[in-house]
Order: sequence, then C-alpha cells, then structure tokens
Amino acid sequence: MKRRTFITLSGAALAWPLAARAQQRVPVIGVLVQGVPAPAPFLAALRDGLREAGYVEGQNIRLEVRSAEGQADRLAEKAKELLGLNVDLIVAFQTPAVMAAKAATSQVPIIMAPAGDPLSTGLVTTLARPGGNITGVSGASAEIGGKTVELFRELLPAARRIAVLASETDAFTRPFLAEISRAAQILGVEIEPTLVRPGQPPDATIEGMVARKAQALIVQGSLARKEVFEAALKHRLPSCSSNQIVATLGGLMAYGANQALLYRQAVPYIDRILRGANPGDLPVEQPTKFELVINMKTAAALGINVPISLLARADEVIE
Amino acid sequence: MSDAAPAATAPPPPSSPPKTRGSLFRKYVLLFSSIVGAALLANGAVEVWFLYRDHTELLLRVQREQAEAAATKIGQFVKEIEGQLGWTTQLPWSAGALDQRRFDALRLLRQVPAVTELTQIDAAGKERLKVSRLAMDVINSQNDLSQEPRFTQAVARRTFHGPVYFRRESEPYMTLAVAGTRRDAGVSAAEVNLKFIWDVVSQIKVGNGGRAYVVDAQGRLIAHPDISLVLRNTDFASLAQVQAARAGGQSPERALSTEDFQGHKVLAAYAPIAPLGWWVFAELPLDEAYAPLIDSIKRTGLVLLLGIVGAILAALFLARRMVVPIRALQAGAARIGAGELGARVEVKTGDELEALADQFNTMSTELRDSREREERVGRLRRFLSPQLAEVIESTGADTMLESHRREVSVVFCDMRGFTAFAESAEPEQVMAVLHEYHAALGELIHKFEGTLERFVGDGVLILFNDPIPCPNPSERAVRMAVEMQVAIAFLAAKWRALGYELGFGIGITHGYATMGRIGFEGRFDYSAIGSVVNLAARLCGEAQDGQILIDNAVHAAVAPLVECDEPSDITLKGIRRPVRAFNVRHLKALAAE
Repeated sequence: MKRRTFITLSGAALAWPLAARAQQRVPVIGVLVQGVPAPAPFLAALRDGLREAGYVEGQNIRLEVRSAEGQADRLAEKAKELLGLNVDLIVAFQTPAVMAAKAATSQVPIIMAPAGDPLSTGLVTTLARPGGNITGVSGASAEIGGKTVELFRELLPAARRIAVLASETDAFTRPFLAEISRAAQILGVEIEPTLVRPGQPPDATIEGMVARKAQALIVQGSLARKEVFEAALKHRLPSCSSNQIVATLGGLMAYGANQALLYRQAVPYIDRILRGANPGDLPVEQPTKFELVINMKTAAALGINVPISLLARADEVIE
Repeated sequence: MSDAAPAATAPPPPSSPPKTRGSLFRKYVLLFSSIVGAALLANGAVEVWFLYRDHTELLLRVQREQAEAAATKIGQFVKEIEGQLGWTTQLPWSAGALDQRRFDALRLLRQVPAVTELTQIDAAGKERLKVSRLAMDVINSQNDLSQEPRFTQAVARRTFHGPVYFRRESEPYMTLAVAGTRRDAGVSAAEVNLKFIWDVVSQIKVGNGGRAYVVDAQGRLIAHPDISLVLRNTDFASLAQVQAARAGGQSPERALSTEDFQGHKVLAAYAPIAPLGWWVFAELPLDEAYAPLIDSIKRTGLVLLLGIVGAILAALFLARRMVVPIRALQAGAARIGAGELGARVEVKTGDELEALADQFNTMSTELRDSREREERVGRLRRFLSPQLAEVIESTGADTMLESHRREVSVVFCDMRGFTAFAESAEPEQVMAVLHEYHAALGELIHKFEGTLERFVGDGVLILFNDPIPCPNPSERAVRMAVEMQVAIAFLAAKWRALGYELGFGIGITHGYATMGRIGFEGRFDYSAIGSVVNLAARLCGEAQDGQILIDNAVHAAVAPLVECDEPSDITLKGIRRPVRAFNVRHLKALAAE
C-alpha cells in the first residue's frame, strides 16, 4: 500500500508541477453524472475498482461527485464547479456528462465511463489514439439499437409498432435512432421515437405511446430509470434497454454491454492518468461482454411467453 | 618501542642505512595478505560465477515454463473454440432447418464469449447464416464466400487461423474457421475477440515488474498486460527477442537477455503457440532478475573484505612477531658496532629468534670479556714484558707468581760513568739520556723475549727461561747482549758528541734462582733471588765499556757460537772463590745461521 501511495504521488507530481509543490496533496477526481439513470451502481463499482487498485478515498485520493439531478442543462454548470475545485481529472458517466465536460475544458483529462459510441457522437476521432484530453470506455455502439429491435421481434413476433424513448439532450440519440430505423426497415416494423428530457416525468409520454398503439418500448440507456419502466409496466408496454439494471427496475428485457465491467474499466484509465499518462495516448476500449437479461416476472405480468431460443441465449433470467 | 630507542641514541652502523628499515615488514605484510587475499578472491569469484550461472539458468527456466504454460493455455483457448465450432458443422446442409442452426449458433455465442460473430457457409461457399452480438442476424443471404480464404483454407486444411486484424482500428480479432468432416457439412467461421487472451496473459505474474505478452507470426502485438498497446496495434517485430523467436525459434534455449520495447534491460523467454504460429514472451527486468544475485554478491564481497582485512591484520601481527625481534637484534648489533660491548637483546618469542637472540647475547658478553681481558693485558704490558703479561693474563697471575726455583739465564747491564754524569748534568738531560737508553734496550728485550725483571737506575736486570720457559736461554741472552752493545755504542757516540762520557757493560750468568713475588700488600714485585743474580751484577760491575762478561755456565752453552777473549779469574766482592769470566768479543758467523 505504501509503495502504491508513493508511486501514485510521484506519478501525480510528475504530471502536475502544482501537485509537486504541494507534495502531500491528495489527487482529486471529479465525477460528473447527469443523475439519470441513477448513478449509485456506477459510483459503487467505481469506488470498488479504485480500492482494488490501491486508491482509498480520503487517504490517497478524493472523489468529488457532482450530479445534475436529471436536469441535463445543469451539467455544464456542474462541470464548471468541478473545474473550480481544481480536480486532476473528470470521470464522466455517460455521453451527456462527457459532452458537458468536454465543453467545459480542453485541458483537464476527461474519462468516459462509459459513453455510447464516441466515434459517431464525435467525442473522439479514432479509438486507437483519441488525442486531446478525452479517453475512456466506449459503451455499446449504436448497433445495439438495431439488435434490440431484432430481439423484440423474436420475443413478440406479432409486434409491428415499437416506441422509442430517446433523450433530447444526448448526442448519442441520433446514431441510436438511425440504427433502430435501419433495423426496423429490414425487419418490417414501425418505429415511433419520442424525444424527452432526462428528468421529465414519463407517465404522460408512455400513455401517449400506448394510445398510438405501440406494442413495445425501447428506452435509450441514458434515460433508463425506475419511473419509466414502472410507467411502461403500468400501461402493459413491454420495455427494453441496454442497461442490465432495467430488468430489475421492472423492465422486460435488457441487452447490452455488461455495465458493471464497463464501469470498472474506467479505473485503469484513472490510475494511468494519475501516474502521468497523456489521455490522448490511451486507446478507447470497447466492451467485450454483452449480456441478455430477461425478467420473467414482468413477462408473466404482461402475459408474454418467452421463446426458448431467447431463454437459451439469456445470460440472466430474473424469476 | 624498546628496539627503536637504542638505535636512535647509537649512531646507525654504516652497513644498515635507515632507508631499508621496515622493508621486511612490508614484504611480509604484502606477501601474506596478497596470498590470503588472492585465495579469497579466487574463491569468491568462482562462487559468484557459479551463482550467476545457476541463478540465470533457474530464472530462464522459470520464465520459459511460464511462457510455455501461457502458450498452452492460449492454444487450449483456440482449440476450445475450434471444438465448439466443430459442433456446428456436424449436420449436412440438406438436412435440418435454418432455425435450428441459428439456435445452435446463438447457443455457441452464449457459450463462448470471445466469439463476436459466427458465419455458417454451406458446402458450395454460400453464406447461409450469420449471427452477431452487435449486428443484426442475417439468415440465408446466399452471399458467395467460396473464394474467401476462411472458406477455401478451412476446406483444404479443416481449420483456418486467419491473420490478426483490428476492428474499428482498435480491437484485435482473428477469424477462426472449421470445416465439417463431411464434404457437405460446410464451414463455420467465427470472429474471435483476442482481448480474451489478455485475461490469460495478464494473469501471468513474471516477478514484480515482469510481464508476458503475445505476438503473432508477423511480430504484431496480440496480447499485453497494457491493453492500450494492443489496441494501438503495436508492432514488436523489431525487438531482438521477437526476431530470435521468428528466426530460430526452435532452439532449445528460447531465452535471451535483451531490451523490451521501452528500452529497459530484460531477461526474455518465449514459447511458441503451435497451431497459430504465435509466440508468448515472458520478460523480467534485469535489475529485478539479478537483485538476489547482486545481494549475494554483496554478501560475498563483504565476507571477502572481512577476510582480506583479517588476513592483513594477521599478516601485520605475524610480521611484527618476525620483525620486532629482528630489529632488536639489528639494534643490538648496531650498539656493539658503536662500541657498546655486552649489549643485550630482549627477545621472548620462544622460537628460533629467541635462540638467536640468546646466542647474540652470549656473543656480546664474550666480546665484552675478551675486550676487557685485552685491556687488562694492555695495562700489564706497560709494566711487564709481553710474555709475562700474557702468562699472567692467560693463567691467572697467582700460580705463576708462586715462589719457585728454576734454572735461568740472568743478564745485568748498566752504564759506565753514569753516576758522574748524573751528578754533573741537569736532571732533564739525565732523563733524556735514560729515556733513549731504556728505549733502545727495551726494544731488544722484546725482540729476544727476555723478561725485564727490574730497572735500578741505569741498571737493568733481564731473565730468560722464567716465568716463560724458552729454549737456549743463555744463547738468547748472549745474542741480545751483543746487539745491546751495538745499539748502545751508537748512542754513546751521539752522547759523546754532546759531551757526555758514557759507556755500557753487561754481565751474564746461568744457574738456579728462586723466583716469586716479593713485597707487601699494595706493592708486589716479581723478583729473582739467588747467587746467580748477584754474580751477574758483579760481572757487570767488572765489565769495561763495551764488554760482555759471561760465566762458565753461559760459556759452556754458547761456546760454539761466540768468539771470546781468554778467560780471566776474577775475584768478586762477597764471593769467596775467584770466578772465571769470559768476555764475548763477537758472534761467530755461522754458515748454518
């Protein structure tokens, strides 16, 4: 532990002359979250990972978490607040937070933890050598949206109209919707996208979708929160998102990169940047493990018979 | 230092200049410490060499084993995927529905996380099914893949390992294709995410700072604990260890000391992943690899240093034991040389040196005794004849000076006209004449080894055959007397020129006399008593200037040697009968002499 402390400190000292002057100064990590979806699992995974890497909060590292409380327009303000604290780097949870951080600084390193398809949103120009001050973990690519449509078709072969709840404030929305439309065209289903703000109460929106005869709902990852899935269930609308957490929140299905792993993947970036690495030199990592989770309770509540071909592929089945 | 002090007070003898002082000491110390030091050094060097060899061998073996274990694991990983793919190629395309195949393919994706995409190609080379984790599944596209290597090569060799490629420039991938055993089974081709190999490689612990990594047949990095290097598509082909592996990879060594991609010195071992033509490398930083060795070399060096210091101390001690007595002896010799006879040397070493010192002391004592004796003899000689002095010195005076009787020849001589001269002349003149007279006589007495018994004014009494016996005492006496007359004649001529009328007469007798010590405590003389002495004095008194009167006994002994006048019977005072005396004219010139 001592050795690690020493390395960390010396690494930080190399990277920032200010830190060298302060000598015993503990590196400060700014964490920027939108507040939707709930950041708790992300923060827990981040803290676990840091601890495993030898960083103990309050001893050799300080975490400053700032949340926009679901109000996307407050992200910029929170990002500025973090910069005002003179943080050593910013860990931004999901694309809107990364975007806000990027807008706020081109100097302080920013780690995407994760951001959906950073190539198509323009956060980085190449994954191998991102350059600039941004690096980190790429979440699911927009392709996942198409895959979700395919899964819905398999689960509900009769479904012809799928609603999509997409974020008004997320740069990932555009490529995400494009992929979904492409898949829908191939599979012969209709898509009804609705753009909302992250913190917006979902009830009325979902009621409208059901009224327009939507048979399934795809929720963009950055909008995945309890209220949305509860409202969907209330209106008997089968729902799906890329974050595994949705299944436990009352959603029907989740397909996407294993989020817990993605969160943890941010830790090596933090470690290396604190030791003086240049974020532009660190390649963006892509997810390797994709998981299908099916909530059988929701399925039963909705009276859906999950075909064996899906169950066989499911990594997790919530009974 | 006890040995230094006398040397400092006494002037150094010329034979031992001070600059050579201590060189023996230096020689001993140098010799001894260099012999012991060399032995220790040689031992240490041999030990270190063997240590180095064994340590390096062990390290390389451990690393090679790690590399081999990783190679085996990675080989198994690939084999397992091949095995799984094998399941999907068991059925002919004529039988079975596509749905069933798709179900199998999806289950395979579920089973093997590393496979991102699976394509199934029928025997004619048409794509029939493609399932993916990311992209939408494609069913029965009938795309013609019959010319693609994944199909042709798999059909030809049953399995196909494609080159490593990078998806979206960053993820390392490889195409793995397996053909079914039946001709109509077609080919299953999987896109394998090689980041899963990273798990294998990053689990390998090579020391603390070491690492393992994998490169493909072209030398490109496939797996490395620092995954960003892999994602950046790094080429390792220029590294010496990669070149060695690609060039002569089958050599049994499979290990070398070289530099890693950052230029750090490392010990690298490698092992081939047989079916793929890839290589696993295990690298350990040299400083870490040799840290225990350097520690033990340091320990050896310390022991060596202690040994050498010990050897020098021992050498100092031994050399001191040798040199201090030698210096003491040297100083002793210097003291003797400077005249301090009887100088003693204290050496208590209990060995030959002590014996040498004892002998030195004995020698020194004897030297002093001998010198003292010589000085005593010298003192005696000034008063006694050399012979007497010698005898007294060598035998101890007592026995010699005991009263004894012996047959002796007695010579008595004095000057004619001395009494009148002494009365008229100044005492200084008298002493000068006496001095010349005694000097001339003394020389001759010494020459003929006579014993000067006493001076009585101008009279001199000389004995032959006592205390030292001599052959022909009478002959000696006569010869001496003849020479005395010649010597004094010269002096008399000189004195006459000065106006002193002095002559010289000699009387010689032979007979028994009693010799011994006379006198009293504090003043003893060695003296001869007897008529023969009186007779000599009386004959001398009768002798005219230039005459040598001898008695019958003397004459009898020397008759063949001398020419004498006709004897005359002389009546002497205190002697009842007249004594027949002969005047010696000169010595016969004998051919034999």
